[in-house]
Amino acid sequence: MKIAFKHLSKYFGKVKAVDNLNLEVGDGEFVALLGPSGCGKTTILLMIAGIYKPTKGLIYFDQRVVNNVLPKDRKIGMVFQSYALYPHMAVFDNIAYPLKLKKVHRKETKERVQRVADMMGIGELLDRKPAQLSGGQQQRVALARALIKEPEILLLDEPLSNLDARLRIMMRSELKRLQKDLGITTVFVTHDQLEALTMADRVAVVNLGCFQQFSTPDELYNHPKNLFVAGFIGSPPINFINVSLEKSDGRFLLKSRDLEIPLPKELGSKAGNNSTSSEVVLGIRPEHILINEKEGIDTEIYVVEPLGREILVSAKLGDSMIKVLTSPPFKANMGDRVRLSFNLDKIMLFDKKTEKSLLLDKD
Amino acid sequence: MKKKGQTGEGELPLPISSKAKNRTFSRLQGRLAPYAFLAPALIVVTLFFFIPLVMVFILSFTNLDMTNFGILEWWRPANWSLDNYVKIFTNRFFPKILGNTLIYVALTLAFFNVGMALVIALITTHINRQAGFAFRALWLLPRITPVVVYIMMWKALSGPAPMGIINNFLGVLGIGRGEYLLNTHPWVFVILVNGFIGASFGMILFSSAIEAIPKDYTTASKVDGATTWQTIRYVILPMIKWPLLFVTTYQTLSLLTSFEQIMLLTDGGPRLYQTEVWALTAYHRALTSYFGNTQWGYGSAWAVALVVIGIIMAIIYLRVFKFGELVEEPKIDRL
Ligand SMILES: Nc1ncnc2c1ncn2[C@@H]1O[C@H](COP(=O)(O)OP(=O)(O)OP(=O)(O)O)[C@@H](O)[C@H]1O
Ligand SMILES: [Mg+2]
Repeated sequence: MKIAFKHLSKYFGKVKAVDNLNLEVGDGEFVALLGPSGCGKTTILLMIAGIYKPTKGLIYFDQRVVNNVLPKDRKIGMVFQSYALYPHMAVFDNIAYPLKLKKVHRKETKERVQRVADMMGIGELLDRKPAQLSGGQQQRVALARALIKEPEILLLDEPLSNLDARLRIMMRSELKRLQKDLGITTVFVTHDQLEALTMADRVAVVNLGCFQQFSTPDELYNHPKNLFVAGFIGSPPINFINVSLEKSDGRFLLKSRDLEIPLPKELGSKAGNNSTSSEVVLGIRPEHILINEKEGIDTEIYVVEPLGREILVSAKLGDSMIKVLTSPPFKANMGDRVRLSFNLDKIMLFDKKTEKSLLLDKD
Repeated sequence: MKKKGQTGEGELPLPISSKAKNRTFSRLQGRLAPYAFLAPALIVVTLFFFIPLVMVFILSFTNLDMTNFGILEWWRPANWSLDNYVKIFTNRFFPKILGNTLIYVALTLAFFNVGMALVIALITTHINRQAGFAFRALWLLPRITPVVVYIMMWKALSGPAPMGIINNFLGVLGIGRGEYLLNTHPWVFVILVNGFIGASFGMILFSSAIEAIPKDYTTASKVDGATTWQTIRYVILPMIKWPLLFVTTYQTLSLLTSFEQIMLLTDGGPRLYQTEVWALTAYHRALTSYFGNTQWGYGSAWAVALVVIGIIMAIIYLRVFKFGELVEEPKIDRL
């Protein structure tokens, strides 16, 4: 089933939890809502589920407006951040609850519970109470309860945030596989960018109740639309350097007290066309900086952090710190002077005032 | 173990005898201090609760009354017998009084103290918060009104046609002939009068228990496809099992022993023993009599029998609600 929002808003009194959202989720698509805490992610999910009524705007399931459809008529399965397993019911009754409400026959219920429990690998736990389960088991029970009524839309509200790191990585791939096997349209809420980027077909970055960007993980990482998305996505985070965009001899230059970078022709003219002033922010990801002794910007190494597969080098450039990811072996030490050169194909430029990217075509 | 010379707070070593005396004194003081703090409460409880209880228990085996007061040595076992109890159970009106008590307790409990309380709690927690709160506050009014004023109000409400407010409404609807409703339907009023007060206790407990249920459970239930009624039935009610048990038990016991509203409203009437309940009988026998002859011993026997009934009821409730399981269950959700 397709989901679409048209100018969707939800206000709680004066708080604008969700503000004028537009979004389309394709049939069978796995979409992640990614954003910091309190940005309205849960509110969006609860509006899809029909628990909250939108203050303004429309929600479509396929071609149908569902604003006034009751939650029970929406064919939605949902996993809550707290799992919300009913503590007085055994695992079997928890999973069977949606069927019991629909008065499904006893025998059929039993078969279906067993089938979905086996699929989730909790077939042996059916007579336990939720309090007697580990976090990972509880999460599977919650997922089984969401899946048993064969929903057309699956909503997952930070389902992995209560698990330990190892289990989280395991469940990440399992969930992704499950979603593809079942082909259920899925909206997944998280504030962990790694989860969003690794699992989802498309990621919607949300901040302050507004979408910042809605695109594929690759697009999000390499062509962020604005400063917030560029800064939010990526770990270690992107480097931002305040520079001014200047023109000399028909070529564009990025200039600051400590550096001067001539821009390739195409890049420069695009940035020059889009910019409203000469003040721009240069963004460059740590892995797109080359560290060497011969050419580039002269800096001093502040600290070196080996991460195993890679080495994170912090270098001092004027007042700011530049993070560089390089591969071992890396011999220089703290205090040594090195040179940095930026991969010009990968740099990003943002307007300092509007915070928008200068490299995207205007729409 | 204390080393020698470290006994005091670094004071000079005292001669043995004086040191020992000092120590005994402070030890005694330490031991008595808790009792000193408990004493006021202990004295009050003993004087006004425990001693009367024992006295009532003893009196119930004697035939102490107005006529032999000061003559009968009621504290002597020789004067004790089971006559009073035999008298209770062979009383011509015993079945009537027992039946009245059962009707009074069961109906008030079911319709008001638990039933209405639950309904109000559910409604006021499902509507706008402020409105719910305001409604519950209003419902507390009968409880904080002096009982005599409250009963006078009901008497006025149920008065005959030109004055009685209820009769005015019934008249418009063409029901009844405008009689004094307390005379024609005393039981309805006995239950209403007690129920309106009694419901507020359960209402407060239930509504705070319902509000304490994490929102996610009810939200999950709705997404799972439940109607409001199904959510109440399968999620909310099981989660407030504990307050339900408590209110049911507590209110049964307090209804069994309450009689002041009935006394003020109908005093057991209007027809002979029509609304006379057990606790009221005990009061009537012991403290009032048509001939000025108050039978303290006999009245005490009624009271003691009522206490025994109450204890039996409490034990039955604990069994029915599987109290043991309730206390075992963890009260916090471990997630
Ligand atoms: N029922 C409510 N009444 C009033 N304000 C609310 C309500 N629910 C949410 N809000 C507010 O709306 C905003 C968005 O809340 P929401 O729960 O959607 O955030 P979230 O993105 O899910 O955050 P988190 O990652 O912490 O779960 C917050 O500012 C929150 O305080
Ligand atoms: Mg949330």
